Amino acid sequence: MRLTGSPIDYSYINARIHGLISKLLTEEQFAGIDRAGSVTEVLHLLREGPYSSLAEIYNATGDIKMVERELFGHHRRVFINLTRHSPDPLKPMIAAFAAELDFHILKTSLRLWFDQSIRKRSISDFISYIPDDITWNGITPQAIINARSRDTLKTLLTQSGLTADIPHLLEEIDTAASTERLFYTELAVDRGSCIQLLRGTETLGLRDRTILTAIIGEDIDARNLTRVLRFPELFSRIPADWTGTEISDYVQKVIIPGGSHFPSKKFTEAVLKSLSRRGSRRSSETGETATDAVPEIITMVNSSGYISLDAETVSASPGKGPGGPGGGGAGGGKRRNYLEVLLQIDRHLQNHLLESARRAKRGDPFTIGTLAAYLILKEREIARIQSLVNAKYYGLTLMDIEAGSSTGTRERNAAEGRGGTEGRARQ
Amino acid sequence: MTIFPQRMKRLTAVVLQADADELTRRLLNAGIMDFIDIQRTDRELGLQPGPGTPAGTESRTSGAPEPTDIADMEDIRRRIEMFLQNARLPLPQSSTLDAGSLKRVNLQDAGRELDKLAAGIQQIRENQQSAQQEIHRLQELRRQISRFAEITETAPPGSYLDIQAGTIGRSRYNSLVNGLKTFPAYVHRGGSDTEREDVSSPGNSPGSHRSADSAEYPVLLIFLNRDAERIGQLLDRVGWKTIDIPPEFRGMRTKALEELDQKIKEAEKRQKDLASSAGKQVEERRSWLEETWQNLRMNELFSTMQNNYGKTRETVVFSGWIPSHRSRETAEIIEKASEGRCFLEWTAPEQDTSISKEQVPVLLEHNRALLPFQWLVENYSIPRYGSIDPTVLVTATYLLMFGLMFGDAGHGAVLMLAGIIIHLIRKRSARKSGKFPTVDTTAKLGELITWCGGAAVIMGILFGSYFGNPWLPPLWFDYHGIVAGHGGGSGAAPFITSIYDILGVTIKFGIGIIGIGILLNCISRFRAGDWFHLIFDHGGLLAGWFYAGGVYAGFRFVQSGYAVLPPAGILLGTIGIPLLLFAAKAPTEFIIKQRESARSSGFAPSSFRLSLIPNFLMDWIVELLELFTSYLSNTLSFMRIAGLGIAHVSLMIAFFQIAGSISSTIGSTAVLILGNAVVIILEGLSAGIQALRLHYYEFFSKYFCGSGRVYHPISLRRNT
Repeated sequence: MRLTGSPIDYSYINARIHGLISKLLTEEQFAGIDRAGSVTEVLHLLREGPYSSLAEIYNATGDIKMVERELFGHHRRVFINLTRHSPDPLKPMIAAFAAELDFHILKTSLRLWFDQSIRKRSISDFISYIPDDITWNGITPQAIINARSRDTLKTLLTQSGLTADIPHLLEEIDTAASTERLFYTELAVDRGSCIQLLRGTETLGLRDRTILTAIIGEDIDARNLTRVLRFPELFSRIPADWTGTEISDYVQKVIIPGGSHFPSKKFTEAVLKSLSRRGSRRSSETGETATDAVPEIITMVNSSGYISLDAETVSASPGKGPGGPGGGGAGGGKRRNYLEVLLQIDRHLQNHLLESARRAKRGDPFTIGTLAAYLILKEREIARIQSLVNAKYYGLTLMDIEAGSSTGTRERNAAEGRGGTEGRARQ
Repeated sequence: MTIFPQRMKRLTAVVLQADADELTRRLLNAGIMDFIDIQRTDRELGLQPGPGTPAGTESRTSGAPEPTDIADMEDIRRRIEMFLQNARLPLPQSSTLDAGSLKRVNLQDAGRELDKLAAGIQQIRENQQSAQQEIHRLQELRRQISRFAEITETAPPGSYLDIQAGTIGRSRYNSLVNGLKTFPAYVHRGGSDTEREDVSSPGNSPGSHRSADSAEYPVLLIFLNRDAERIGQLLDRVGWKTIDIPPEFRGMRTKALEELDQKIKEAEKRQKDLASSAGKQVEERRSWLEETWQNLRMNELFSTMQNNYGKTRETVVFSGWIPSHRSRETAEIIEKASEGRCFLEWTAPEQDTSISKEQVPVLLEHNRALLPFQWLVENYSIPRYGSIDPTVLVTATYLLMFGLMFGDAGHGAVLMLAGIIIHLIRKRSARKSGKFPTVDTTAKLGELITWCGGAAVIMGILFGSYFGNPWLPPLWFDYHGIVAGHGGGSGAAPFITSIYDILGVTIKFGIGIIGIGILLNCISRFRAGDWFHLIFDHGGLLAGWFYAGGVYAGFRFVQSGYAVLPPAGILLGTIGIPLLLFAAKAPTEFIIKQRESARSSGFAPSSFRLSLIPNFLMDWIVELLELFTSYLSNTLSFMRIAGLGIAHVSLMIAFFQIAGSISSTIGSTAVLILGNAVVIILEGLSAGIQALRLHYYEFFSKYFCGSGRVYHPISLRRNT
C-alpha cells in the first residue's frame, strides 16, 4: 500500500482487519452448525460472537426473514465500522465493496416489482424486510417496488442513475417483462455491481490495483463458475443457427467480466469446443442445439492449474455423468456432481483468500490485499450463514446446504425466479 | 501453601473385567485420575498379546461404547442445553451427581423426545412469523397513512396509498373484510349502529349513502396501490360501487391511525405471548431435560473413562496420574470396587528417571482466594512438574507493586467495589449457564480487581492519600506531598523527601524481587540436581554473586555522591571473581554435552581441540555482556513503579488545579469526579499491566520453568 496517510492509521486498520479475520467462523465451526437440527440450534451455536443478536431476533419473532434482515444489517455495519477506522485513501475501495449491498437491494426490489407487476403475486409479506435508508439519487427501493407500470419503473431507474452503472438494464427489464423471467436482468445487475467494484480500484496505485483486481477477479471466477455449474441449462439450448459471434455475445452476457483465471473468452472457447466435439444434436422440434458445455468448463478449470479437482469428480464430468448431455440440463446425479465441483472451487477460493491474507500479514503489513480478502471472506461467511439458516428451515440436505452456500445462493434464487428474501418464505 | 506443584504418582492398575463398571463409577465420583493413553502404557508395561487379542491390550473394554456414541451423547446434551438456555433456564450442575445413579440412556428415544419438543416450538415460531408479518403489514399501512394530512383522493408525494370510498351490500361486507386480510389495508364501515339496523329505510341519513335497496353500507377502503389490481378483483366480486369520499370519512385519519396503533399493539402482545409460550413448553419438560442432561453427562464421562482402559481376555488395565496425597484414597476405591482382586503399581516420577517431567501433569493447588493469581501464572505458562509454582509469591509481589503504583485509599475502595460487582454478576451468570464460576475469566478478573483495590487501600493509608486528598496523615511517607513539592519528612520514613528517594525505594524493591528470583532458581535447580545450571545459569549462583556484588558497588558509589567506587580488592571479590568463573561455563558445557552424546551413541567422546578456545572466549564475552545488560535493565525497569505512582499523583494534582480554576461549585465538582474516574480507569489499567509485565519479564525470567501440562482428571466436578 502506498502510504498517503498516517502510518499509525494504517497500522491500526491493519491490526483491526487481522483481528477481524481471526474472528471469522472456521470450517470446524461451520461443520458444527451443519450438524444442527433446526434454525434455533444454528442460531444458538452463533450466540457467542458477532451474530449473537440473531438468536434473540428469531426467538422474539420466529421469522427467518427478520434474521436475514439482521444479517444484512450486520454486513452493512461491517462496512460502516471499517470506513470509520480507515485512512482516507482506502475509503473509496471500501465504498465500492459496500455498494454491492445496494445492488443486492436493487435486485431484491426488482424481483418484488416483477413478482407483483408481472407475475401478479402478492408481495405484502416481503416488503418490510427491505431497508428504507438506501436511496439512489433520491429514489428509494420502495419507489421501485411500488412503480405502477414498467414505464414508471424505467423512468425511476433512469432518474436514479443506475442505468449509467448497469449497462442494458432497461433493455433487460423489457426482456424480463416479455419472457416473464428476471434472470438476465439480475445478471445485468451483477455485472454492473462487479464493474463498479473494479472501477473502485482505479483510484489506487498500480501495485494495489494489481493486487486488488487479482483478488476480486478470483471472486468473480467463483461467481461465474457457480452460475455455470449450478445452471448447466444456461448453455444447453443455444439455437443451432447461431454464429460464433452470437455465441460469444451470449456468453459475455452470462459471464461477469473481470475474472482472474477464467475470462469470458475462455468460457466461449469451452462452449464452442463442446458444440464441435459432440457434433451438434439438432432438435427437430425446437431447432435448438442441445449440448452440455459443463464438462468442457470443468476440464477448462482443471487444466488451468488454478485448482486441481479431485479425480473422481472430473472423471464423472465429461460425458460420463449419469444424466447424459443435452435435454433441459444435467440430470440429478450429474447436477450433484457439478455441485461437488462447485464445493471444491468454493473451498479453494476460501483457502486461497485466507492464505493471501496470512501472506500479507507476514510480508508488507500495509497491503490492500488483506482488506479485500477480509471483505470477500466476510461476505461469504454471511452468505453461508444465510444459506444454512434457510436450509435448516426448509429441511434441505447437507449437500443442498453446502451447494447453496456463499456466492451461489443469490444466483440460485435468481434463476428460480425467487427473491433473496421473498423466495425463502414457506409457500 | 506451597511453592511447588503437588507431588504426583503414576498408578497402573489391573482389575477383572467384571469389576470394571463398578470401579468406573467410583473413580468418576472421586474425580481423581488423569488417564494416560493406554497404548503408551502398553509399551511401558511390556504387555504381551493375550489369547484373542492381536497385539497387547485393546484400547477399549468390550462393554464400552464406541466414540461415536459419546459424540451422539454430547450432541443430545448440547441440544438440551440449547433448549434450556433459550428458555433462560439455568443449566443443571454435574458436581452434585452420583455416578451410582447412572442409567443407560436410549439415545434414539432421547433424540425423538427432543425432536418432539423442537416441533412444538417450531409450530409456535410459525405462528410468531404470521404475527410478525401482520405487524409489518399494519406498520407499513400506518406509515403510509401518516403521510396524509387528511383523508383525500390525492396522495401526497412518496405515498403509495389508494383511498376509495364505496358502498357494499350488507351481506357482502364480511367477505370484503376477509378478502382483505392478506393485504395491508384499512377498511371502515360508515354510519352508526342504529343506522345499520335501519339500512332499509331510505334517506334516513345523508351520510349513509344507501342505494335503492337500502341494504348497503358506505365503506372507506385504504390500501397500497401496488395491490390495486388484486383488490380491484375482490371489489368486483363483492359488488363494490365507488362513490366520492363522503365528508364523514374525511376526518378519519386520526381514527384510522389510532385503530392501527391498537391493532399493532395487540399483534405485538400476541407475538410476546407466543415467544413466552415457547419457553413454557421447555419449562414443562424441564425435569425430563435436566434428568436426561445429567444422565448423559455421567454416561459421557463413564464412557470416556472406559475408553482409556485396555483389556486382556479377563482383565482391564489402566494407568493415570494421581496427586500423591490422594494415592491411599485411590487404592482404597479400587480395592473396594474390585473386592481386593486387583494389582496396583505406583510410580513416583522423582524415582523413575525414564519419566520426563513434561509428561507429569501439574496440579497447582491453592486456597480459592489465590485463584486470580494462579490464573496470572497459568497465563504465562504452566510450571513444569517439580519446578517452582510462584502463585503465592506472585500474590504478594503483584499486590505490593500495584499498591505502590496506585496508592490511594479512595481509588482503591472504588476498585474493590467494582471488582466485587463484576465478580458477583459473573458468578450469577456462570451459575445460570451451568459453568463453574472458577473457570469464568471475567469473574477471576473481578476478584483480581478486588484484591488490587484492597492493596491500593492499604498503600493509600500508608501514603495518606484519599482521592488525592491528605485527609489523614501518612503512616509511611507523604507520596502526594513529595510529588507536589511541599511534603515529605512525615510518617514512619521521614528520610524520604524527594522523588529520587521514591525512585530509590522502588529500585531497592526491584533488587529484592530479582534476588528472590535468583534464590528460587537456585532452590529449583538444587532440587532437580541440575548442578551445571545451579552454578552457571543466568539466575544461578555465579550470577547471584555477581548481582550482589554489583548492587553493593552501585550503592557504595551512590552513597559517595557518585564519586568513588569501592576498593579494587572488594570489586575483584564481588564482581571480578564471578565474572572470571563464568569463563568456565562454555568448556564445562562442552564437556557435559560430549559425555552425554557419547553415552547415548556409545562412541567415545571427541577430544578437545585448541580451535575451540576462541569460541569459548567469545561465548564468555557475550555471556558477560548479556549478564551485565540484563541485570542492569531488569533492575532499572522497576523504576516504572515509581513512575506510575508519580503519574498517578501528578494527574490528581492537575485535576485539582483545573477544578480550582473553575468558579462554579458544580463545575469543579464535575471535574473532580471525572478526574478521579479517569485516574482510576487509566492508572488502574496501567498499574495492572505494568505489574504483570514486571513479573513476566523481570521476575519469572529468572527462575520459571514452563512447558508443564495441567492435571486434568475425568470428573463430574469439572466444567463441561
